[in-house]
Order: sequence, then structure tokens, then C-alpha cells
Amino acid sequence: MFDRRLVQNFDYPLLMLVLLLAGIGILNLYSAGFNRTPEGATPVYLKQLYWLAAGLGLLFLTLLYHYRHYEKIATPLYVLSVVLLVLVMVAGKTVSGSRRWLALGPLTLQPSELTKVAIILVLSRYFSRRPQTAPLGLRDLLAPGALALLPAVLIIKQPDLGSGLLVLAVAGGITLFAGVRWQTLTLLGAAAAAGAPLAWPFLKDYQKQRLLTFLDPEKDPLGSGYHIIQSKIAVGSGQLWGKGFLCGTQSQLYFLPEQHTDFAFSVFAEEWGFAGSAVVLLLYVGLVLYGLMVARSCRDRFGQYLAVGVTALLFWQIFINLGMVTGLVPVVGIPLPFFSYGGSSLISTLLALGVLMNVRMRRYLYGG
Amino acid sequence: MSYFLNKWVRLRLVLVGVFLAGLGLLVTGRFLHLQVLQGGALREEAEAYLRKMTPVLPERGLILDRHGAELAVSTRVYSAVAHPRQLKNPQRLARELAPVLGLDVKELQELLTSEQPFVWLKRHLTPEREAAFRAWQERVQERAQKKGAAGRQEEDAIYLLPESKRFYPQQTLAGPILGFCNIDGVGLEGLEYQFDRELYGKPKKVQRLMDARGRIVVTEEKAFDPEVRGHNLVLTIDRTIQYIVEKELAKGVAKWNAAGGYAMVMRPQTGEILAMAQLPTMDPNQPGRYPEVARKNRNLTEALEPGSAFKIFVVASALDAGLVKPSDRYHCENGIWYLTAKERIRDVHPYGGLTVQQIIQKSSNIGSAKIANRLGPARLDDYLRAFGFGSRTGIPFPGETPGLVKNHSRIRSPLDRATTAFGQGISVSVLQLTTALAALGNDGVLMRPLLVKEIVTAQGEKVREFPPYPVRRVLSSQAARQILAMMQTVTEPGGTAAGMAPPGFTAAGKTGTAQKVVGRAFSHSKFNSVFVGLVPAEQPVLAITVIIDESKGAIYGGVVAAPIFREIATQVLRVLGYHPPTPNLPVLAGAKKTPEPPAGRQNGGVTPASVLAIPELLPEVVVPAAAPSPKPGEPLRVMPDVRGLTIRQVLDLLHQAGVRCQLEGSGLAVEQDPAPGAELTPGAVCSVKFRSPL
Repeated sequence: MFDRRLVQNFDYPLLMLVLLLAGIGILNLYSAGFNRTPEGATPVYLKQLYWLAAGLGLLFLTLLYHYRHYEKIATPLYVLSVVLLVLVMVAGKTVSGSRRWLALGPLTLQPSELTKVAIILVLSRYFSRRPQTAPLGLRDLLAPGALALLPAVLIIKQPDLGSGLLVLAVAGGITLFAGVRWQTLTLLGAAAAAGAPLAWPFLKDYQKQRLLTFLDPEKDPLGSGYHIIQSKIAVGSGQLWGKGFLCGTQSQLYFLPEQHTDFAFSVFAEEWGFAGSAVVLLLYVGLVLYGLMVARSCRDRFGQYLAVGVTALLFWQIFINLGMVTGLVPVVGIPLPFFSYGGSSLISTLLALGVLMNVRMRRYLYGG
Repeated sequence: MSYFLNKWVRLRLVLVGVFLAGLGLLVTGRFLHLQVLQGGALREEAEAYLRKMTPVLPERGLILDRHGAELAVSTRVYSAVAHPRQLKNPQRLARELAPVLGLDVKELQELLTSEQPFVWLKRHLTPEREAAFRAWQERVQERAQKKGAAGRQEEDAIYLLPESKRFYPQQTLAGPILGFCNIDGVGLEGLEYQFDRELYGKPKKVQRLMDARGRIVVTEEKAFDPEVRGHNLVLTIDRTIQYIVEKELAKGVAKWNAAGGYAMVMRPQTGEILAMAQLPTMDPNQPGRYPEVARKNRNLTEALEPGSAFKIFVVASALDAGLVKPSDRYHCENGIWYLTAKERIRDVHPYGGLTVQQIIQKSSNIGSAKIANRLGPARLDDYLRAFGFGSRTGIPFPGETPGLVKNHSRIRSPLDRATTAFGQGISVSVLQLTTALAALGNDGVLMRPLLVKEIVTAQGEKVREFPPYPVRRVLSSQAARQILAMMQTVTEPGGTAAGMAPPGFTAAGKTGTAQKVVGRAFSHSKFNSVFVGLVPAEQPVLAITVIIDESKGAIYGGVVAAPIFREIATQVLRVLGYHPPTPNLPVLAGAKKTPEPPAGRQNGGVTPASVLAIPELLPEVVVPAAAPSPKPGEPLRVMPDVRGLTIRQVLDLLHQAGVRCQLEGSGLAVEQDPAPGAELTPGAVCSVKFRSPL
């Protein structure tokens, strides 16, 4: 099963890219947690380092198996994630008003993170098995739509609007890659535009608040607008060259909220300036384009869908988070891969990248 | 298979790549926009968040006695404050905080729901409440951490603000002189009011690093910028002397069951006020507990009739004008002198012919009225104004009274003109009286009274000095010497205050008993008993005024006020290091030991030689120590154990030892340095702490 060529074809560039981004992310977490780690507690960056090690271990473990095997576990994994999501609703741990976590002994698991991987697998399986004849019509979208909506709605109910929409966005990305009829696309777009006002009453108060705040953050600068304003100030005040490592005043003096999770990149942008941000942006763009390149070089449909799905997942998270940090999109609580602290998020990202590497390193291999 | 090589799929991937790269560029452009184009503005905004201008709370300067003992200090206290508009759950917070701050829940809730942007919840917390509040803050912090909340919490809108609180460690000592402040540290009365600007410091706003929770990031120490510390006020008051004077005045007032009293001790040569006491008095730590009469420094603000004590100024003026000689005789009309058919002046005891000296000694109203007549109204006016009566001395103190002096040239009634001669119908402040008295003892030169010696910065640099300032010469040296000699007879046998000189010293004094003015008429039951005195008579080093207000039993100044004067003079002379040349004690430095005071004085006065050796302006130098005598009564060579002794006993003992001492506190001695039995070097300084036994 293990082939010498696997080592030869191993995706070293991608691994280097991942390690580079993860390294910068942990360095930044060191700064974000600097000055604020309670005595005796493990600093955040160290915890993230442990998670990184564990995630890389898992990643290499998955590389041992041909990605084709994923097709077999796609459905069970999907079912598992849906079950876990239901379980979270019943017995989840509530933090800051949301039930997102499941306690597994000493560890806490965020099933929505697992769902991100599961949805890629299950849709890749679905579309790759479907005979490719013509672009998808409305009726063809019913099944994949249901597959995506079920976990998405469960996640949104937690409530975690960001992750729920992310699942839909990833599903949408894969579906678009599968090909959708123009008419259908237009119809769906129009329906979404018309339906958006109808969705308004179903939003939680804080979600409405976030959307309103996004439109006018200055309305409540100390309340819901605080995140956006402070983040913009932190990013902007970094200017071209930044304030220097550990010298970001906005972050070091607690102005920045959630600075080791959703707004971790604000810390980075403040301390390293546009120069540093541009380098990281370049790395991210490289990562995304690399993912598409993997899809392009892949010769089986399942692998192609997997690569596209992983790329979509990475892209949406990066785009939404950075947009949030710079005030381009509303605050929806999407973590930035490699920068935001969070074990579940890091592991799901690494697993997704493992899928990508798997596809890449087996591009010349057929069968398993 | 065909699908995988489908060019359309591959092209689609490329297009998607281009599209995503475009979005990447968009995000990059956003960063460029924020960081490079808007960067400057946003950095400024960041700094604005960081460096909110916050006022630096000035720390009020100290008030010190002439030797640096602290009379008023500032201590750090915390006040609980809140920004109610930032609170989301004022009701819950009110319930939580009410027991912490010791407030009523409803009251606190009202404060927390107020429309004000800022409210004081409780000013000047006790250390226990402060600790309780900090414990509450920690609980809030823990709660927030558990919830995983970061950034500003609503509880951060309630916090402790460091403030400075005035504290008067000597309690009532010199209370009415010091005055007091309101809770914001603004002087309201006394020196605190007069020198408020100097003491308050420069309030300024500085940029202060704040974190997102609104907490000041700098250390506590920096919260009080030494640059904005107020200046220190150094008084001419000597705490030990002030203590003696207050104690003796209180004893006298108690003894005579009087309504109150006044006492002042001044250096004639410099005009420095060493002590200024009054009863009722007040503790500036709790000004609200005292009536206004106790809070005002009435030695300056109250105008009193000086009574017969005033005669010395009339007679001195006549002497200076060359109109009378001490030996001139005046007929004192056997007790009743009819100025007109209706108007008459009476003496307490009927006298026939009296010399000018005797008029002072016996305090004849008729005699002094005749001398005033001799002087004439115009000259009398000139002299009284030259002595400073009728106008403010200009001492820096709020509410000083100018007193009231008649314009004698315009008064037609001979009686009204004459009463001034024995201190009726005119009013003076104790300060004016003492200052004019001091002029008699300062060779006829009137000094400006000094209460504040200097103003120094917190670092000790001099900001302003108040050096002795001679206002004018009022009397010739000769007239001054003559009046002192006359006044000395007052304390000698036959005088109205015989035997009231401090033991071993001479004193030049004058008694007075003034009917108090009640409404518009003189009271026949309420009197001020007055004594003014200079010691030693030949070359005075102290000018002392004692007035007892409404004594019961006896009313005469010689009986009521003079003994208090005697006690004060005795103790103050000792504290200042002046020793009478008694055979059992070493004499003053440089002076040869004289076996007996020269004859010619009825009282054993200070010998001329020793008088010259009195260190007038250097009271801190204890003279005998410079040349300790090995003769009998030699100074102690080892430090005695003074613990358990009273201040007086300690002073006696240590002065015998020729040791200068610094006393602190009141009551019985509890601590001493050097320790008992330690060998004493000449000129040693020892400190003794006293505590009142409970």
C-alpha cells in the first residue's frame, strides 16, 4: 500500500506553506496572549502548538490511505457530524450564549468544525458519482441542497450563523464547480435576494445587531460596533511597517476583542503593518491557488471535487475573516485558518489540507 | 476519462483561480487602504483611545511648623465612582455593590441609573471598604473569564478613583489657624483657604495610557505626578509652644469656667507668631462638628475691647511725644473725675497723686485719661494708627478684622474721647494687640506679624519667603525702654499683677478687664480678662497676650489672665532655651556665672550680662550645652529615662541636662531617643514621643 513514489510525490511545497503559515500564526498568538495569560495557565500559543502537532500527526495518518477511501467514509462521517450537531443542541456546553461545544472528557469538540470536512466529502462523493451529462438544473440541486442545509441549519440554530453560512458557501462552491445552469443560478440568486428580508425575523437579536452595526459601526461604538471599530483602528494604526512584534498597543492594551480568536489577524496587522499583512495575504492567495492547481492536476472526479471543496473551505474562511477584520464584511465569527486560536478549527483545517495533499501526492496513481 | 481532460473544466478552474485571486487582491487592497492610506488617521485615533486626557489629581501640599513638624498632610484614599450610562444592569449591580460600599440598595440604584455621565458612589473609602471593592472587582474578573468574555465589561464602568484626603495629625492643635478643606481638597477656611492656590498644586491634564477596559495602565505612583504636588507651607508656629499655649489656656478657661479664651505668643524682634490659641477650638479633621465660632481663627477675626491693657500704648505715645516723663505726677481725683457735670471717669481704687509709672502700675483710668488729654486727640489718633490699630496688619489670613478706632479729633464728648485711654470704646484684634505690644519690646519698632515663614516646593525649593519686615518705628528707643520699665512694675509688688513674672525672669506686663459689649451696651456681668506681657522686661524675647472670655468668680486680668501668662512664659522660655541665672543651674553661654543678681531689682531678674547673651533669634540653640559647667548642678551626662513622664517633666529634666529636644504627640512619654543611659554629648538632640493614655 505504501509506495516509494508517495514519498517522491509528496507535496513538500504545500507542507512548507502550511508550516510557514502555522508558524506565523503561532508567533502571532504568542503576541496576542502576551501580558494576559493568567498565572499558572498554559499560554494560548503553546496550546495551539500542541494542537498543531496533534493535527499534523493526524494529517500524516490520513495520508497513509488513498483518498479514494474517503468515498467510503464520507456518508458515515456526514451522519456522525449531524448526530453530533443534534447532540450539541441537547447536551452542548454553552459559552457566551451559544451551544457549540461538546465536552469529551477533558477535551471539547466543536462538531461544526467536523461538519466542514464532512460536507466536502459527502458532496464530492455525491457529485463524482452522478453521471456528468449537463449542467445542473433546479431539480438536480434538491439532493445536494438538502445535504448542505441540514447541518447548516443545525449550526445556525446553535446559534453560529458564521459557521452555518460557511458550510453553505463551501457546498455552493462545490456545486458551482459541478456546473449549474445559468437560468437556475439566476433564479436562485433572485430568490435569495427576495427571501433575505423574509429571513430577518428568524435572526437572533445579536445577529440583527451585527448586520446593522456592519452598516453603521459608529452607531454604538462601545457596544456592538466596538469590534469593527477597534479592529479597523488596530489594523490601520499598523501603517506600512507596523509597530513591531509585541508592540501593538491596541492589542497589548486589551482594546481588541477576541484577539486570539476571530481578530487574531488584527494583532498581526497592527504589529507587522501592511508589509507583514501583504506577505501573509500572498501566502494565503498562494495556498488557495495551489488548491485549484491540485484540482486541475487531479485526474479523477472525486479527487477534483475534494480539492475544490477544500479550496473553497480555505478560501471562504480566509476571505470572510479578513473581510471582517478590515470591516469589509459583517462580524460573523469565522476563524482565520492558522491564525485564530482553536483546536477544532486547526485540526479541521489540517485534515482538509491533508485531503488536498492526499490528492496531490496521488495524482499519478490510480486505484488504491 | 474524457471528463478529466475536459478542457472546459480545467479552464473553469483557471477562471475560478483568477476570480479568487481577484478577491484576494480586493482584500489586499483593503489592507492597503486601511494601513497605508488611512493609516495615519487611524493611528491618531488609536492614540486618542490610548492617551485619553485625564486630569492628574494634585496632591495638596503640607503645612509644617517652623521646625518641619507636620500639621496638615495629604493621604491617599480611593473613591468609588461610576459611569451610569455604560451600565446595562444597574439593578443587579446595585444589589451586588450595596453591601460592598455600605450603601442602601435603593440609594445606590438611584445613583447607578442616573442620567449623569459620571457619579460618585462613595467618597474616601475606608481601607476595609476599599479592600472589599477590590475583592468585588476580582470576582467580576473571574466571572468574565469563565464566560470567556474579553474587552470592556460593564462592571469596568465602576471603579476606584485615587484621591488625596487632608489629614491633620495633630488634631485640634492649631486647628483654627490651619482651617480646613472640603472633600475635594479645596481650602475653605484659615490658611488652607488663604494659601489654597499654593497648596492645591497645579491641576493639569496629562495623557495617560488607558487600556480598553478604561483602566489606567501606568503604575499607581505616577497617578500623582510630583510636578503637580502643591507647595508646602512652613509656619512660624512652633508646635511645642503652640501645645503649651493651648494647654495652659485650656487650663485657665477650665479653672475660671470661662466661655473661651485667646492667647498669642510672638517674637518681638521678628513679628513671628510662635503660637496662637483660642477656645473654643476645633479639629480640622471634622470641621462639621464644630460651630462657626470654633472654626474661625478669632485671634484675627474678632475685635475685642482691650480694656486697661490699652493704657500702655497711650502712655508710651505720650512718653515718645515728650509730653510726660515717668516721674511726672498726675492727680487722680480720688477715684472719680467729673469731665462734665454728667460725664465722669472712675478708678477701681481711689488714688491721689500718682506718677506716670504708678498710673501704669496701679492702672488708673483717670490718670491715663489725663495723659490722653495731654496728648490731644490728633496726636492720639496718629499714634494709635502708627501702632497699627484700626487697620489690618496684612497678615495673610482670611477675615482679618481691622478693629475699630475712633477718630478722636472729631469726637466732641470729652468722655468718649477719654475712654480710649483705658481701652473702652475701641476694639482691636488679639493680633493687633500683640503686634503693638511686641513693638514696645522691639525698641519701639513695629514689625509686620508673621504666621507663614516660607512656601517651599514639595522638593524643598523655596518659592516665597516672608522675612521679618519692620513696618515703622512707632516709639523712640528711650520711650520704649521707659514704658517697659513701667510695665515691669506691674508684675512687681504693688502692681496689678504682682508676682506674675515667670520664676527667675522679669516681665513687663499690663492687666486689663474689659466689659464686653453686649448688643450696643457694656455688659456689667461679662468681662474679658486681659493680660499682655513681655519677657524678660529688659530685653524681651517674647510678647504674650492672654485673654479669658467671661470668666466666672474673678474677672480681673491680674487674677485671671496673668497666671496663665506666667505659666506660658515659664514653659516657653524653657523650651526656647532661656534660663534664669539661678545658682543651681548653669548660666547662659558666654556669661560668667554670677553668684547673685545685682541689687536694685526687687525681683531676681536676669543679669545684664546674661540678658545680652540671650540668643534672641536662635531659640534652637541650647545655650548651656555649649559650655557645660562642671560645677554643682552640672548637666546630666547620661540620658535619663523619661518614659512615663509628662511633657513638662520631660522638658524640665532635659533642659537640666542641657539637651535640646523634639517632642511629638501629647500625653505621656512612650518612646525616647537616645535610649536611657546613653551618654550625652553637649548639644545633643533627643526626640521623645508622647501618647495620651487612654
